[in-house]
Amino acid sequence: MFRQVLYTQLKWSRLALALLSVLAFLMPAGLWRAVQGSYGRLYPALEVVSAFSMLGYALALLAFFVGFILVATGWQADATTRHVYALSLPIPWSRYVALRFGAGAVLLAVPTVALFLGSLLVLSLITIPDSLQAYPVTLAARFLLGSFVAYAGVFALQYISGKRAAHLLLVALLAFTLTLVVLELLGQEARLFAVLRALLQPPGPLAVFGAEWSLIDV
Amino acid sequence: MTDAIRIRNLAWRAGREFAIRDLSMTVPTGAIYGFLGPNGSGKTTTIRLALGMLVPADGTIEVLGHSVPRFVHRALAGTGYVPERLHLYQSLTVDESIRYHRAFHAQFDAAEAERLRKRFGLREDQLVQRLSKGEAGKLMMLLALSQRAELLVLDEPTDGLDPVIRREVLGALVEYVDAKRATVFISSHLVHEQERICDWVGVMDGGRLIAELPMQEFRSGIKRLRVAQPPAARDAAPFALLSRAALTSQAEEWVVRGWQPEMREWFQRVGADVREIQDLDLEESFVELLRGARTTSMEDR
Repeated sequence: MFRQVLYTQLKWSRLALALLSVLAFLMPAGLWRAVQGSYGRLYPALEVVSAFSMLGYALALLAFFVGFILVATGWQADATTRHVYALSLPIPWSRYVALRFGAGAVLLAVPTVALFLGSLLVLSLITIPDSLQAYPVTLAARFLLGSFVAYAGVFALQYISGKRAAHLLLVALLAFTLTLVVLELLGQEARLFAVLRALLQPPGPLAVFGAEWSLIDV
Repeated sequence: MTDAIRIRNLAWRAGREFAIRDLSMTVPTGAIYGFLGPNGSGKTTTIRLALGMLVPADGTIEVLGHSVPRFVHRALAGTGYVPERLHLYQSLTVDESIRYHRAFHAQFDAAEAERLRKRFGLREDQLVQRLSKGEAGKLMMLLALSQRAELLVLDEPTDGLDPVIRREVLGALVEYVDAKRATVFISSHLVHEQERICDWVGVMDGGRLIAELPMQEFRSGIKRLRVAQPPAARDAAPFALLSRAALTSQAEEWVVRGWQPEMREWFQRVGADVREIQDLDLEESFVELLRGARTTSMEDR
């Protein structure tokens, strides 16, 4: 049963998953190339750390997209039939949801492995200053955790709260972000920042996105 | 043995426009039950309630002895369902759809699925989204029949299909029922099609079940009478009067349900005389039944 659900999930998301995996693979080397320009030279430690901290932000965003895309592709297939087929299967809805959740979660491993291999590639191309260390496994694990948190959050909204709730929350999130931007432009400190900090800093649920994602650090 | 489907006092509402009200129906085990009604009468809603896809506001539903919606997955294990519109995943092929369906149904007969696939002329690698309406109908029927279900719930399974495909689909259904002794609950507004295969009939209109009876009774029990010197009132009449219309100042045409030859005596007692008795075909009976129910409903208001 799970194998078939996994098969359908893979079939529905394979194109997006392939694109995101290629992006995850190329991102470490590509970003280094864009920021520093050359692979062969030995750069100062501070410049290396700074370049890879930018990679961290990009990867956090990519992790969120991976999670979102995997939920959206699975949900879309059921939504086009108004969930009639899923509801006519002889298993409890909770089990069906668990199967769909598990199938998407398994596929999170694909871009994670791509990122890990991309990290190994860039580490083989650049010269790391003696004072710094490379953390490809930690970065990949963080990416997996980040994409899982995003996946689980979006999945819960879609499958448990329903489409309308998901849309409402998305609108609320956009309004919240816009307010933050406006307040930032006006130079106003606001309680909204405290809320954001509480979400993004440990033990907040989105802390994984707020932390440093660095391939090379001290 | 329990009834295949047993619904009691079911209530459900969608906004202000449509409601299922106090619906009770029984589908006996082994019956081929034709569920008739005009478009929008509540047939599909009733089916979705029976299969746990909608939650009733009130009432009880039992399918194959399991309470729905609480134990709907147990009921669905023995139920093959063909909805009125294609419900399968569009991006899968025919073969993938069969394999996916098989994974969820323990009794699924892969050899039978293959036999039906060939019989229906479906290619394994055809994408579901590229299937014609007839092919999609055949694939849904193939899946429902291959799971060796004891109850088949078919919602307008032949609607929009050409006569050749309709005959193929119904032929496979009849063979299955003969071999498996399965119960079939088939919703349709194609009255003549139901007449050929059903032994029970239920008629829905406006969210209410207005009749439920054996097909034989439905076919022979509704008559058009030409009545001379008709009585103004029909107190204690032993039949249900569906409609009456004046022909002349001295004669009326009555359509009655539950007619028996000995009921002529009632007319004699009230000073009337039955001059002619006409049989109605199933479609006429259906139309008269609906007309009678709607008239009663208007009078009740």
